Amino acid sequence: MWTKQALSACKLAYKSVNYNTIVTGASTRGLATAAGSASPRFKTFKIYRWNPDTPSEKPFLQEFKVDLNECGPMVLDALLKIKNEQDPTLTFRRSCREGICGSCAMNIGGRNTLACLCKIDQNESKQLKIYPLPHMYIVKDLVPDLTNFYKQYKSIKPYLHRDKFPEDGKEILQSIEDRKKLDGLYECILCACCSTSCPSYWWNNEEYLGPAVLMQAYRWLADSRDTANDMRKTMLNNSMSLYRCHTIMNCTRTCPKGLNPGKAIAHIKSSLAFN
Amino acid sequence: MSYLLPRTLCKQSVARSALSSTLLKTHTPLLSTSSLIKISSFHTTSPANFKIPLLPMQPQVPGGVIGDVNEAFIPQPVNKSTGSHHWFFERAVEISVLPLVTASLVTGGELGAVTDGLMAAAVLVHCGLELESSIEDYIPRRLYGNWHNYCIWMLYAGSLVSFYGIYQFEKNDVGFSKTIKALFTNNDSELIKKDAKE
Repeated sequence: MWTKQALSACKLAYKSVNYNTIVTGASTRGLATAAGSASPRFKTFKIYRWNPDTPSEKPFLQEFKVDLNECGPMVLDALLKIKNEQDPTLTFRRSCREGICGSCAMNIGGRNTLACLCKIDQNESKQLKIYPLPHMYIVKDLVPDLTNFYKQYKSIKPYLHRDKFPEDGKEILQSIEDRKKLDGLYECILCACCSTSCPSYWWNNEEYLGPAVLMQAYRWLADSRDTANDMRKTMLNNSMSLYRCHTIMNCTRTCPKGLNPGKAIAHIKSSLAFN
Repeated sequence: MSYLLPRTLCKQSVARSALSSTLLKTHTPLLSTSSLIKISSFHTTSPANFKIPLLPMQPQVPGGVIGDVNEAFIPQPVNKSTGSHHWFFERAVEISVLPLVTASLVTGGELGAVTDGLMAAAVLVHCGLELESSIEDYIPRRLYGNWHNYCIWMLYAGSLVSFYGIYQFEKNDVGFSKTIKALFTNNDSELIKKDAKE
């Protein structure tokens, strides 16, 4: 019942907005104004669907047609439009819509990326396929289960370890050079795009930590304020945790934030070998 | 319930995570175990999609998640011989293969049996290490139990036999560089000479 009420409220709001634009002058076009009388440009989106309520049904690709004239520029806009107007059961994670939360990581057109940072190809003759992150267990539709990923992240103890703190109880100082070592590492938003693009992680994700978690391990190894280097290195020194990385470099290729997990892993390997 | 959930792409594993199995708990009374197995065969992502033929597999923990969802993953114990030392050895062999192969390419196999044997041995060790890596990747102990160890031992045994083969080939025959050169130049006079002597 409440959904119906909410819907009618939305429609009312929508109408009032239209009314306002007419009043303030239909001739002035802003960036947010709809394109007007242009003929609709329908692009086909094929989206992976699987519902835990009907587990016996095989996962399938559902086709949706979206008018690109009526839709925002990013894939997330299209997904939201489909969810709002065509199928409210379509399930995906999203939050910040600006590439800082890492919720909307999915496989779009064969590449792991964030839906909110991925522009829709404006060529409407080409269809766009959207899958969840590859080789993960699926909770529903585009929602992968990241339990194991978070458990792995927790295992590297991603917080500052120190024996002694400054006696004045104030901040731990760091030189500008040392701070620069963290650039390209701290920006990671843990969207799991890189880990789930790594074939080695596909085969052995129960034991191999994967590029995202290893890059964070290096982020704390590289931090001049952290004094637990031995502990951090020790937990990586076995055949599975780190050394399943075969420098395939899918991680660096796919990272939607433009970071380089492959390089961070190479740094860890050399620091372990030449200790 | 673990059989019911599909996995994008696919693999051998049976499992499900604690998170989604709780989501699905409401449906358990509806389905008997036999129907679960039937249902699992519908999925493109059924458990047995990727499997080494003939090798028995270990039962797997649902979703690869051991313990509570909020507990940290527990890594394997430290083992430098399969960790950092192994990696260093791999790189060292790779780097030593380069000049040895280049030298025999440049000189056309006139280096003598010792250098030629060294080159063959280095290439063999390099191949052995990469095969060992493949075994670690595709026949891991986690999935195949002792069969992982058997594969490693078979690799070591094969490598030993190959070392003996290299020794014999260098001692009683023309050596690797010359054999390969003969393959490319179609000039088997050297080989014929050797055979004629015997």
